[in-house]
Amino acid sequence: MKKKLPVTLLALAILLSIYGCKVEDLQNADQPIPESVTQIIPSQFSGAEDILIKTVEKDSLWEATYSLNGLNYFTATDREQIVYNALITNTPAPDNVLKYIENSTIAGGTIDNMKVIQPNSFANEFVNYGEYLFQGKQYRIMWDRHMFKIRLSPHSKILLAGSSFSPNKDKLPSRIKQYLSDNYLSMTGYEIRYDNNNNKLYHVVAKSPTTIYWIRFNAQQKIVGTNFSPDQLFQTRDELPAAVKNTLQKQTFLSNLKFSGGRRNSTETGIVYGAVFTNNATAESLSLEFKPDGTPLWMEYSRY
Amino acid sequence: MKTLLLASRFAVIVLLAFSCRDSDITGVERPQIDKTELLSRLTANERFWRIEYIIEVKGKDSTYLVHHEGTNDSLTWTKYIAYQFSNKMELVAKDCIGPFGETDYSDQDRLSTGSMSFEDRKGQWFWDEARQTIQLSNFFPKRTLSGHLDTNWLPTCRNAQEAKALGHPERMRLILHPDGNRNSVISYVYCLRAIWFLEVLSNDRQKSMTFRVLY
Repeated sequence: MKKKLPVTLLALAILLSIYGCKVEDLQNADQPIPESVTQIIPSQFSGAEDILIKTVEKDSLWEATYSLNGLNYFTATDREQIVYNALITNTPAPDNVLKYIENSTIAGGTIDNMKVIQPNSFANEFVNYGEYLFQGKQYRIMWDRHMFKIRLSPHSKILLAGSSFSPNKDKLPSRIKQYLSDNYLSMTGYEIRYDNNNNKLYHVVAKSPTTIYWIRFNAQQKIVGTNFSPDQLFQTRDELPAAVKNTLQKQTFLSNLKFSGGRRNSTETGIVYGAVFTNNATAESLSLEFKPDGTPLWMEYSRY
Repeated sequence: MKTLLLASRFAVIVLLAFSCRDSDITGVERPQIDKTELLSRLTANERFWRIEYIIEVKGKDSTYLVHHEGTNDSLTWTKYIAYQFSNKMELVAKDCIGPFGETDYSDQDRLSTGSMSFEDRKGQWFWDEARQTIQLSNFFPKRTLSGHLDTNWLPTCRNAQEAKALGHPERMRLILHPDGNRNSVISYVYCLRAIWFLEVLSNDRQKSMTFRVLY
């Protein structure tokens, strides 16, 4: 009897922690959150409080905030498990990151909402991230543990990463897999991104026997941008269409970089012009994409 | 059937004899070539080119310098140079071992290649606006040869999927002259046949790789 009492108390404590915490659903009546989903966070993190859950993608992905031991987290779950868990640090970016940005092509923006992705998330090496406001647009800035690699790309609140080696390698839908297979490409890594409006984007890195490419697909799994198999190649900036050149001319921050190639891709969602700028001395690379009328579609900056 | 083949080859040689000399570009109406489209096809990363045959043209006489009835049998594999037009305007020359000559069209062929392409083996290419074609110089291994891409035989595919849909080998022709002299009496016609790399079959620690290719 003496031995059974602590076990009973422990079980009671777990039950209380699961059912006693406050779970608030901010949902439309037509999109109720399944009971099983509301239980994922409390069962994983005993003592989690102030749980707020919202639907990101109907029947498949939910986002949530919660607090645990005085710390705040932003998380995402599928029907069974937590797939993304980030600590909201509320601290400024590290000095060496700030110093790097200050001396880089993307200087002049501000970093906010710093987070650190926690273990057991579907994550890649870029575990530190924040929001970077640059020239009036919001980007996701992220860097690895060693603060050696830095990436800037359009804002995404959730980024689920996988690779050909990770257990979640089969998360890509069949249409995307078929596209890769039809083109003799094999996936090496991918990101499934959701922006603030819950728009979904697949960013897939795939290799051929000789080359590595990236291909982005929208929620309907149609290509919206890629550097694979362009139908035109531009050796100089002058060869790009006038509308694209005009937009590039307004981007004064490009002055430290060298134009290293342009392309035109006829994608399933329209014609996309791409331009790549690099600075070999600083290991910076910037990839830009535009609609034929010069409207910017995508910007990705990296330093490796 | 053999007579027909011989006759067709003779016809090709006769045609070459009269077609591969450069005409005066000022007096000839040339079709406008979209440079940006040509470059996207020429520099496709998965395609290498192997020499299928070489014809020497001397005045009105043409003779095969290299001509080989190839088989896909691995017992007859031979070492040869595969060329690639890189988007850095280099003509990269790699050593390959595989089927050679006028082999059957197949996507089940295999080929092995070393991963190295040595700096001192690279030639150069550039777009010639006046002549509306690609010019080549420093051709490997015959460094004294330079010339241009025959605009009647241009690459058409951007990727392996398109090459497979084509249903027959993709070919391209180089017209090369000794010492870069376009008016030379002797010129060489290099018929290049595409090798599309479809799949890595084995990778020996980057020293050599074996691929499944579309010939």
